[in-house]
Amino acid sequence: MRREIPLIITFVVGITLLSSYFFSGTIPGTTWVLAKVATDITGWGIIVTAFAAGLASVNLIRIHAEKIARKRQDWINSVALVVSLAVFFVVGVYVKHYPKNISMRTFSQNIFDNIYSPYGAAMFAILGFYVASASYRAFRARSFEASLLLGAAVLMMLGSAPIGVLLWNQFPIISGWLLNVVNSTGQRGINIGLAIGAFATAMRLLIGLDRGHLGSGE
Amino acid sequence: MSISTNPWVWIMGIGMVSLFSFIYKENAAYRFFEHVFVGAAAGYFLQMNYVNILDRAWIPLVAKGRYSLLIPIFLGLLLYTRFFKRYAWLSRWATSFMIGIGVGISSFGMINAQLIRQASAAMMPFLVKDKLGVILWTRSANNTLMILGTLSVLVYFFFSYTPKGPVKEVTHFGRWVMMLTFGVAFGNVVMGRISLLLGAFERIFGTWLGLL
Repeated sequence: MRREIPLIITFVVGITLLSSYFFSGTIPGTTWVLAKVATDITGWGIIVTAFAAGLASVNLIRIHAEKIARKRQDWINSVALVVSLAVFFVVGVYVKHYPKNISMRTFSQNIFDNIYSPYGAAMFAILGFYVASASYRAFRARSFEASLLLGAAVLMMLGSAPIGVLLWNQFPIISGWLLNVVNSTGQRGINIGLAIGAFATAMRLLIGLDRGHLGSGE
Repeated sequence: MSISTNPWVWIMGIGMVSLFSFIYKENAAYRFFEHVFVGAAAGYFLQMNYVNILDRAWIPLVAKGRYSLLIPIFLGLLLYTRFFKRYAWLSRWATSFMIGIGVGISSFGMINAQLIRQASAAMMPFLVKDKLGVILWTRSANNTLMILGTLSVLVYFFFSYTPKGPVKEVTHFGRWVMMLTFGVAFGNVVMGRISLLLGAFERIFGTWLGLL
C-alpha cells in the first residue's frame, strides 16, 4: 500500500500527460477533455514544486538554527544566512501584498541590485579561475584526445576575444566553424544517445521498474 | 569619478571583494558573505514560490472557487510529513506526482526534440550542389564530416558490443569528435565566466571605487 499508491500516481499522471501529445478529445467514459486535464496537471506540478521549495528552506533553517542554538563553530555565519533569508523572504512577500509602498519597493530593489545580483556574479566569476586552473591540470596535452580538447578550447577563446582578431583575423572564422560544424556534430550524437537513455529511464519509472525515488524501507 | 558615498554600493563592494578574496585563500570574510549570498538566494527563491502558491493556488481557490486546486495543495502539504517519522511515507505521494509529471513531459519532449529532430537534421546530402549543378566542396565536406561524426559518436555509445577491427577505429573517430565538442563547450564556459568577471570588476572599480 505504501509503495503501490505512489507507483499508481506516477503511472496515471505520466500516461495522462504522454497521451495528451498523441490523442485529443475526452478521456473515455468521462467528459474530461484530455488536453485540459494535462494542462491542469502541469499547473498542479508548479504548485507542488513550490511547496517542495518551502520544504528545502525549512530544512536549511533547521540545520542552521541548530548550529546557532548549540553555538557550533562559525555559528555567526549561520546567523547571517538565516537573517538574509528572512529579509529577502519577508521583503518580497510584503512588496507582493503592498505594491504601492514605495520605500519598501526601493529597499527590495536595493537588496536585489546590491546583494543578490553582484554577489551571485562574484561567486560565478570565481569559478572562472577554478575552471581555468582545474582544466590546466586535467587537460594537459598528455594524449592526442586531450590535445584536441585543449586545441579546440584555445581556438574558441581566441576566436571570441578581441586579441584573437588582432593576432590573426582567421581565428573568428575557425572558431565559428568549430562551433557550427564540429560542435553541432558532437552535440547531435550525444543528444541522440541522451534521448534514447532518458526515454528508457522514463519508461522504467512509468511502469514501476525504477523505484529509487520512493526511497528505502516501507 | 570619485569613490561612491552610497551605503548600498559599499555593501556591494565589500561583499564582492570578500568573495573574491577566496581566490587567494579561504577566510572568515569569504565564508560570512558566502552565507549571506546563500541565504539571499534561498529567501528570494522561497518568496518566488510563495507568490506561485498564492497566484496559482490560493487566489483561484478562494476567489474563483476552483476546488480542484485542493489536490495539489494537499499533495504539497504531504511533503511536510517528512518531519514526522510515522507519516513520512505519505510524502512519497507528492514525490511520485512530480516524477509522473517529469516522465510525461520529458519522454515526449526527448523523443520529439532530441531524437527525431536531431536525427532528421543529420540526414543531409553528402554532395551539395548550387542551382547550376556545381558542387559546393566546402559545404559538402562539412556535411560529410557532420554525418560521419554523428554516426561515429553513436557507435561510440553502443555498449552492447565490444568494438573490434574497423568498428574500433570508428569509435576512436567518435571520441575525437566528442573531445573537440567538449573543447568548444569548455572555451565557451571560460569566456562566459570571464565576461562575468569583467562585469564584477566594473562594479568594484567603477561603481564603488570610481576608478573607471
